[in-house]
Order: sequence, then C-alpha cells, then structure tokens
Amino acid sequence: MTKKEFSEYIEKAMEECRSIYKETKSYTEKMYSSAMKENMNKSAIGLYTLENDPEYMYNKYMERLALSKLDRLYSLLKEAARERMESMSDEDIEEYREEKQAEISEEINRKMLKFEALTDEMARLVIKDSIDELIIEQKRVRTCAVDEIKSSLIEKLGISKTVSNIAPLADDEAKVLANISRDKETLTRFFKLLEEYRNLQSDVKTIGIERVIIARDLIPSNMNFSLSDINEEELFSDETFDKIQKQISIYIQSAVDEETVESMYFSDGAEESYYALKSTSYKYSDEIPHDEKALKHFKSIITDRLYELAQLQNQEWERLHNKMFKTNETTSRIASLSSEIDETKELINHCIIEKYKEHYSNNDIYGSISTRINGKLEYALGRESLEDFYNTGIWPTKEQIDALKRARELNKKEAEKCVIRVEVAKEKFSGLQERALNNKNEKIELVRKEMTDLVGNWENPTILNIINSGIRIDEKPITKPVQEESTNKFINETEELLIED
Amino acid sequence: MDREIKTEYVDKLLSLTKEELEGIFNELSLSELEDLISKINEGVE
Repeated sequence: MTKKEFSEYIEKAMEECRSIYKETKSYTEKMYSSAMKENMNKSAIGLYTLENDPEYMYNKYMERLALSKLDRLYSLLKEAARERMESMSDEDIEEYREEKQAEISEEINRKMLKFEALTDEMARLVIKDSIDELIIEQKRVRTCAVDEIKSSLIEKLGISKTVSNIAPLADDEAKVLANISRDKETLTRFFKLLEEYRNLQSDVKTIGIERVIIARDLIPSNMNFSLSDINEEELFSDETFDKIQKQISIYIQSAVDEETVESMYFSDGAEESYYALKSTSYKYSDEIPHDEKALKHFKSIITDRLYELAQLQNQEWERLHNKMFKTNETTSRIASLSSEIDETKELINHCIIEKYKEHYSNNDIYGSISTRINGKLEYALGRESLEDFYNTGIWPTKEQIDALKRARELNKKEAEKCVIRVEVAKEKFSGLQERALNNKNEKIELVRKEMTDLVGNWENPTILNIINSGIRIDEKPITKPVQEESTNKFINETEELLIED
Repeated sequence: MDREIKTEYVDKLLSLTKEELEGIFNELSLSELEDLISKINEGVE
C-alpha cells in the first residue's frame, strides 16, 4: 500500500465508522426517547424494554462495533507513529524544523499584514500579542535541540506511552471480525448468542458462589475443620458430605465428653473441696513425715487406725532423729520406718482419692490439684471464661461456669443444625442442582460451537479483547438476583426443616 | 433503519501486518505524522 493509498484508506475508514456511529446513535436515541414517552403512560409491569427490541439492539451493536474498530485502529496507528517518531533521524528532525519555521514565518507575515490594516487599537493589541507569541515560538523551534523537538512532539500528540497489547490483526483475526459484522443477521445473531453464552456462564458462576456460601454454613464455626483443601469438583461429592458429617459427629461427641468432664469438675461442692485441698495440702515434710495440720483436716476421711499410725510414726521419727548419737540399729530403724511411713501415706492418699473421686475424674488427686494451683489445668486452657482460674488458681464464679456451659450448649446446637444442613445439601446437590449445572455446561458448549460455526474462532484473545472493550452488553442494568434468591431460598428451606425438627 | 454494515476500509487497515505498517510509516515525514495523529485524535465526533 502506498502512502497515498494509505491516507485515502484512513479517510474512508474514519468516515465509515463516523457514519455508522452517528446514524446508529441518532437512531437509538430516537427509539429511546419514543420508548420513554410510551412508558410514561404505562404501569411498571407493562413497560416497554428496549433490550428486547432486536432493531434497537442491532443498532446498539453497530454503534459500539464501529467505535471499537475505530478505537483499535487509532491504537495501532498511534503505536506505529510512536515507533516511527522514536526512530527519526537528525536529518528528519531538521527537515521538520525547517518546515515549522517556514510555517511560522508565513503566519507572522499574514498577521503583520492584518495588523497594519487594522485601525481599532484593541484589535491591533490582540494581534500584536499573538505575533509576539509566534516570534517566541519561532525562536524556540530554531534553537531547540533535536531530542527536545522529538520528545515534545511525542508528548504533544499523546503518544508518549507504549500502547499495550495492540498488534495488527492476523489474517484469520481480521476474517473473524469481518465475519461478525458481515451482515445484519449475522451481527444480531452473534451478539444474541454472546449474551446467551454470558448469561449461562453467569448462571454457572452463580451456582458456584451459592455452593461456597452454602458450604460455609455446613461446618460449625468452632469446629477445627476446613473445606479449603478440597478441590471444587469434589466439594459437593457424596464423599465430601460423608466426611463433613463424620467430622461433625466427632465434634458433637467431643462436646458431650467435655460436658461430662466439666460437670464433674464443677459439680456442687467441688469449689469447697478444691479450696480445702489447696489450703491443707497433705504434703511431705522434711522434718516430720506426716503434716500434722493436714492429718487433722483429713481425720474425718481416714480411718482412726491410720490417723493413730501416722501420729505414732511422727513421734518415733522425731525421737530417732533427735538422738545425739545414732547407732547402727537406730539408722537401720529409721530406714525401715521410712518405708512404713511411705506405706501409710499411700493408704492416706487412697482415702483422700476415694473421698474426692466424685469431684475429680483424675485419680491422681495431688497431681490434679497441684496442676490447678500452678495454673496448668489443661482442660481449662483456652476457655476465656476460665482465664482467671487458669492464671490465678481462683475458682471460677458461678456466672463463669454458666457462661461456659451456655457456650458449649450453643456450639452443640449449631453443630446439630449443621448435621441437618449437610443432609439437605447432600440431597440438593446430588440431585436437581447437579443436573441443572450439567445442563448449563452442555448448553454453554452448544452455544460456543454455534458461535464458532457462525463467525470462526471468536474466542481468539484479540477478538475477545475487541468485543469486551468496545461492545459492552452488560451496560444494561444487571437484574440477576438469582444467586441471592436461590441461596436465601436454600437457607430458608433449611431453617424451616430445623424448626419442624 | 435498514442498512448493511460496511467497514471494509477499517477492516483492511486493521489487517495490515506490522511490517506493512512500518513500511508505510517510514515513508511519512515528521509533519505528516503530526497531521495523521492530530487527525485521529479528533475522533469520531
């Protein structure tokens, strides 16, 4: 193509697009205002919607297609111009400089003549100012460095930045684009199919979102189980539902177990026993084996024989240890007495454990108590309502214990609800919705094929880019509350089931 | 309104290869380039 042919093509191309754009725009505007007038006398139900009018939509598509093509053409030309400008030689710039200087000189001369002819002082002043400006510009052009001229020109023309992703169309791409706009029927058919395709895709996406929302409600909030590791395809399989159900059952069972354990720990009288043990602590003394104070406290729960034995052992221990000179026999007796004392302590421990068994499931009563006193009571870990107990060893208040019970009860109820939700979801997804989803996916394939048969490879990224950037079907108000409606419907159905249950 | 869509000149220009475009642009002087870009900057309206 020669330079001359190119300039003619540019003229004609711009005229083509301009003409389509103006005609279609004026036509659609007329249709719009006439529809508005018509609608003013109608109720909301009978409103005339232009989106359903094929003639209107056809013109809209044409208008947008014309703009889109032109826009793309501009981008191509600007990019080519920028590249050419960047690669201009010094001679080219000098040539440009001379042309510009000549143009400015001519303009100055013209204005000078006009200035001389004018008699009005104000008008003369205005002309003089513009001549002064031209002289400054002339001086600038004359003295400006080559690079400066180049960069200022690039800046002035708005082509300083690389136009991304714009490349000339390949033959097959140009063919597809020409096919789309081949005739009125093809264009209308193509965009109708495109809209159907997008609606179907949107429906499939909606189902996906709905699934995620539903999935979020299937698992109790406190449960340490997540669906994030399961891929989307397997997310709503029977195996996944079974897995969720199993995990929830384990969760509910552990809640029941915890309840049992806590009801033992926090039963009536537990607090008293706890403080009794804490304050008396039957401990081992370095000087006297049996703690007299503890023995007195436990007197009521150990046998008289044990009590007496412990007292006697204490007395003998004290006597032997106070001897100034310990014979072999004395030393040997102290050793055997130590064993006897240990046996007695075991028996006393046994009595204490039997006594407090009703409050503490852990038979190691000393271990349990000292753990609590040291703030390491594991069962209470992480429970906010028991933090004081954990940190200070202060027995929780009744309110705290009640709060803990209520929280557990709520968690259990939520988990029980989730069991039903999983059941409902399992039924829903393994049935109707799965089939609906498959149908939609099949339809998408059919529509996609029909579009390809109609115009060729329309899914080519360049063509898609042109369609998406220039022709926006989604300018229409999006009235698709399907997702929310459907999800809410599902949640409501589940809630109803729960209420019935 | 009932007219066929004809954008043969735009389509022809859009289908020019990078090399063809380069060839044409190399023929343009700086002033011509300036005019071309100013023209397309005017847009449709």
